[in-house]
This record gives sequence, C-alpha cells and structure tokens, in this order.
Amino acid sequence: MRAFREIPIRQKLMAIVMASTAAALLLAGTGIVAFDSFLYRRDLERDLSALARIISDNCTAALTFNDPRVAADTLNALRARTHVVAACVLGLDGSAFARYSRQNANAGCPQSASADRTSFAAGGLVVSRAITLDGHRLGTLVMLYDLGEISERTRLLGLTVLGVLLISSLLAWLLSSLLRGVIANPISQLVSATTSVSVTSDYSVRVPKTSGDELGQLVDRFNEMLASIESRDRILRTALQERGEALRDAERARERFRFMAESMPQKIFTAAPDGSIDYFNRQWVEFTGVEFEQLTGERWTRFVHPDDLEENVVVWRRSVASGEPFLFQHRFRRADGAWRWHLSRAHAMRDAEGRISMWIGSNTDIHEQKEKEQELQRANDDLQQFAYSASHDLQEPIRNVAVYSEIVLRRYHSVVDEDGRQFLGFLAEGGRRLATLVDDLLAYTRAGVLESGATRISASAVLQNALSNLTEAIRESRATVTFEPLPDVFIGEAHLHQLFQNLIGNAIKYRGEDPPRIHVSAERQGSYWRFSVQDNGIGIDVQYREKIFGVFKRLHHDRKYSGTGIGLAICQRVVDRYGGRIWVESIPGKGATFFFTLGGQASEVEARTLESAAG
Amino acid sequence: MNLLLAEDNLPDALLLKEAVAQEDLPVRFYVESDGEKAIEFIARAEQDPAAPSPHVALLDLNLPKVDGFDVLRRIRGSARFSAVPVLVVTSSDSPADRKTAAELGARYFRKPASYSDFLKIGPFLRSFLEEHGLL
Repeated sequence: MRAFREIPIRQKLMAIVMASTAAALLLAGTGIVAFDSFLYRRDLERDLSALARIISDNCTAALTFNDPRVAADTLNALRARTHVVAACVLGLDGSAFARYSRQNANAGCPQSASADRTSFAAGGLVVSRAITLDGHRLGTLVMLYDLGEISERTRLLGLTVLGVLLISSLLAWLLSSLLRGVIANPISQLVSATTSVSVTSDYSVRVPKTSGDELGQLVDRFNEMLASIESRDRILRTALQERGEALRDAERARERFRFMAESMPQKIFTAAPDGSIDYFNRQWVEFTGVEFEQLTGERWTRFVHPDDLEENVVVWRRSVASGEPFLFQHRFRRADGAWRWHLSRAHAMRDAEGRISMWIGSNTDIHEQKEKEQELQRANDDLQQFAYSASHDLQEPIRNVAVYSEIVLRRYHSVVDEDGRQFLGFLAEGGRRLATLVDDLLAYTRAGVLESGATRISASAVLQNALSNLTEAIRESRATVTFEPLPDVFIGEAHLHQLFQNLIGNAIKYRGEDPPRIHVSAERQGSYWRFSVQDNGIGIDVQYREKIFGVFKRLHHDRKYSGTGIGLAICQRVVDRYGGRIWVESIPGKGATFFFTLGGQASEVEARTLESAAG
Repeated sequence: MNLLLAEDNLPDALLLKEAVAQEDLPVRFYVESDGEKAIEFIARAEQDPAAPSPHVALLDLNLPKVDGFDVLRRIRGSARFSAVPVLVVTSSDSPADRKTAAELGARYFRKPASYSDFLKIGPFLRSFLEEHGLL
C-alpha cells in the first residue's frame, strides 16, 4: 500500500482504472458462468427426463412381450445422443433385460437405487425411470450421461470471459491512457508551476485552466493566489527598493553633513535623541587633543570645567527631555590645559512625525569676547556705582538750593522786591530741573547696562508696579489705564519698569482735552513680543517720529509739558540693549501708540550678540 | 515719642523737623550727624535706663563713618529695639537700596527736590506711625 502511495498520480489512476475494470469484469464473468451452468444443468435434467420417458414408454411393449431385441433397438436410438454413455432396461428383479452402450465404451449398467430419479454419480448423470403399463410396473430404465458436454461448455465460457476480460482491460488501458491526462495533466502543471515558483521565485507564471471542475477551480484559486502573492511581492520589492534608496540618500546626506562639519571652523557635535553624543568633528579632536572615541557618550564631560559641569548637565538634560533648543556658556579644557569659554547651542532635528531624530550642536569659542564682556561688566558695574554715588551726592546740594530758595521765597516774601522774587523762583525751578536731569541721566546710564539679574519676569507684575508709581499723576489727570494679560519676558525688572513708567507717564503728560485713556497690550510676533502703549493724547507729527527718541530732544517748551527730554531716549536705550526695537505710530490730535519688541528669551539675544562678535 | 534722626545734611534735618512740626506730630527729635553717633545713641539706650530710647528712627543712607544700612542692621540686631519702626529717608533712587531697605523691614522715602513735595513726608510719617500703633 505504501508503495502505491509513492507512485505518480498517472500510474495510480491507471492502476485504479485497471483494477476496477478487472474486478468488475471478473465478477460479472463469474456470475454469468455460474448462472449459465445452473440453467444448463436444469435444462439437461429436463431433457434427459423427457428422453427417458420416451424410451421407457417405447420399451413397455418389449417388456410386456418379453422381447429384448425390440428393447435393444429402442435403446439403440440413443446413438443420436453422443453423451449417453450407456442405457439398460432392467427387469423387475434388477437384471438387465436389454442394454445399450456407446461405441468404444464398455460400460455396464449404471447402478440405480430407485426409479424416477436423476442423480450425479461418479461417471456422470444417472437417470432412472420406472417402466409402467396401466399402473403396473414392468421394469426400470437406467441411463448414464457423461458430463463432457458440461465441462466443454464451461471451458468455452471461461475462455470467452477471459477473452472479454483481456479485451476490456486493453480497452480500459487505452481509454484511461487517453483520459488520465484530463486529471493528471492539470495536476502536473500545478506541480511544475509550484516547482518553478519555488525555484525561480517568479510569481508571474500562471497555470492554464482546462476544465470547469474542481481541478479547474483549484487552478483558478492557485492562479489567484499567485496573483495576490505577485502583487504583494511587487509592493514588497518597491518598498525595499525605496528603502534602499532612502538609505542611500540618508548615507549621502550623512556624508555631506560629515564633510561640512569637518570643514567648518567651529566645533560641531551631534547627539542621539537620548542626548548621548555620537559625533564630534575634527575641530573637537584638535581642541581636546584626544581621539574621537574618548569624547563620545558622556565622556565629553571630562573636558567641561568642574564649576560649569553640574548646570551644564542639568540644562542639557532639560533640553533633551523637552526638545527645546540648548543654549549654554561654559568652559572647555584645551589640549594645553587652558580653559576656554564656549557658547554651545544645539537644536533638535525632527522627522516627519515630529519625533526628535537627532541633535545638532555647535560650540563657538567666545573666550576673548567673554573676557572682554567680563571686563565690560566690571566697568559697567563701576560706572553704575559711580553714577549712583554721583547722582546721590549731586542731589543733596541741588535739593538744598531748590528747596531753600523756595523757603526763602515763601518765608521772606515781603523782604525781597518783585525782581528778587522772580530770581528766587528761577533758582527753585532751576534746582528742580537740575534734580530731574540728574535722575534722568542716571536712568539713561543704567539703561545702557545689561543687568546681570535679567531673568524671566512677569510683565504684568512690572506694569502694576509702574502704575502704582504713577498713582498721583493718574489721579490728577483722571486717566484710565487698561491692559491685557502680558507675557513673561527676559529683561531686567528695573528696565521694563522704566519702559512702562516713561511711556505711560508720557501718555498722561501729553494728553489732549479729554481725560487720558491708555491701553497696554502685547502680541506674539515670531520669537518676539510686541508691546504697545496706546493713548488718546495730542499725538506726534510724522516728521518728529524719529527725533523724539534722541537725548534731550523735546518738542515742547511750555511749562504744560515739562520734562528733560530723556525719557524716550532711555526707552530706546533699554530696548536696544535687549535687541528689540521701539517706534511710534500716531495721528496728531487723535493719539499715539508706542510699540516696542522684546525677545521671549533674553539669552537668545545675548547669544546672538556674542556669536556675531566671535565671527 | 522719641525720634532718632541720623542725618548729616543740616538743611535736610531742618526740613524734616519742619515737615514734622507742620503735621503737628508729638515727637522729640534726637539728631545724630553720622552713623557712628547714631549707633552710640542706640547702645546708650540699651545700657542706660535713664538714656532716651528711640520709638521710631529716620535714617539717611549716605552718612559719614558708618552708613545708614549699618545703623539699621544695628537696630534690627538689638535685643530691645529690633522692632522699632524705621524709615529710610534718602536722595538715592537705587533699586538695590530700595531692596535692601525692604529686606531689613524699613520703609523708604526718597527726598524730593521741591519744598511742597518734601513736606509730604509729614503726612507720610503720620500714617507710618499710625500703622505701628504709635499714634
């Protein structure tokens, strides 16, 4: 059975067809032979029985008249039946009255047990028949009939069946040889197609459909399966190809970046999204005097000044966590051991989904600038201290002159004449103006100095503070000051205070007929905030819009609009210092709006200044 | 009520006295013309029960020898007088000075350059004293 399973379908089909044909024919042949044999025997028995009756009837007279010769003649008629071997007419005593035997056969009378019986004996079929006359038994006829006829017939039938079997088998073999292709061919084609696909991976082959039966459906499904695999294969190939191209593009881009980074005079680094540094350019290697491998990961921290390291790491981790740009000033150790100030900045590169793919950073040597800056800071501090002392020391005598000339004017009013009173008035007024000038000059000096305390402060809080200083002026002028929520900005608190106080103070001072209505707001513009202070005052003629920001520049000389002409110059200086801009838009007679911009990140402003200085 | 005034500029001292007089405040002035003398006044008050004790102090900042903030610190460090209300009266407009004064629990009054403005220190002082339950 196992061997059968292993043979090809073709042979299997043949074997099945041949086996079933042979089995069917064999069964049918056997049935026919058996049935024919049964029918023949039955007919033979009837035939012989009828023959026996005729013979026995014809022998009645011979027995009655005891004439054996007549009986023998009657028996001799059996010659016509070649298969009758012997026949005897027996008397009542069982002795042979007459006998017949076939030529060449010397057989005795066959034995018979009783009359009217047909039985098969060893020699053949024995037929016994009682010979009677009018109900009286006269004797018995016994015949022996050989079975040669039956055997011959059976042999002939067997031969016929065998012949039919052979011819049928041959026919079956021929037919199945012709028809087995109907089943086996599509299967073979399927097999060869699968073999070809598995060997060549060519999914474009298709098996031709030759029938509408299950095999045809199998071919259809197989073809559909191949088509689906082919389309998937194509998509996969395209995707792989695109990926390959993308990888090559990325590699080219990397190469280009490396080339650029290596040829830059600046120190360049890149970091993985987790913040570990994975690349330093040649300038880094030259600066530190160690190989690239000794800088990557966290190893670069060994080259950061111990005083800067902790904050450096904190700021870097904060950027890595938030994705915000990294900006830091710190000292790095050069190969000769000298510490050099650097300005480092890094920006996150993001992919199409907005995820950080890498960090790119630069480190600019700002050592000279930093030293100059520190010198400048010291000089500034000294100047500031000097300005305070000078201002303070000047204020005292000025105040004495102003206040005491006023006292003299009041208390000794009757002692001096009209001229004297006027002159004392000049003294008092001059002293007051001088005091204001000294204050304003101090403020102007301070406006040019970057306060080291420039931090993120709430502009709203500073505005409230400035307004509380202006309470008196607001009350007197019946001014209304409204404002929107203001942002946090990076600026020295005193500087912003100065801006608000001067601009709102001006808005009150240069009012029209109506009580002043002043509105303060801020609007985001890129990385800057644009503040505005809007009033309904007398406004400024277009030709003076630049001039008003100059030192000691005033447009009015009447007492109504008193001032030193330094307020807007201070504002300009403060805004300049933080990299911003100040300007005015106005319709004379209708009001003016002063605008100024401030960066959200003062450090950015500072960094830009430092980098441009470092080239 | 004893008022310790540390002021080296006589014209200012006179003006302050006048402002107080115009407001009709019930105070007796003890004027010290430098920081050292002001500190000595406090030390005397601490040691000698018979010496006058300050109930309120007006301090100029720019004083000879020892500056006003040192006098203020001496008062804040004193066992007896640490809670004495102090008003810094100065020509300085420095934010740093304003900040230091606030940190040491003192109020700040900037001397103006006009007579009428200067006299405003009278009502200012009255409300200051009222705030501290001295009036």
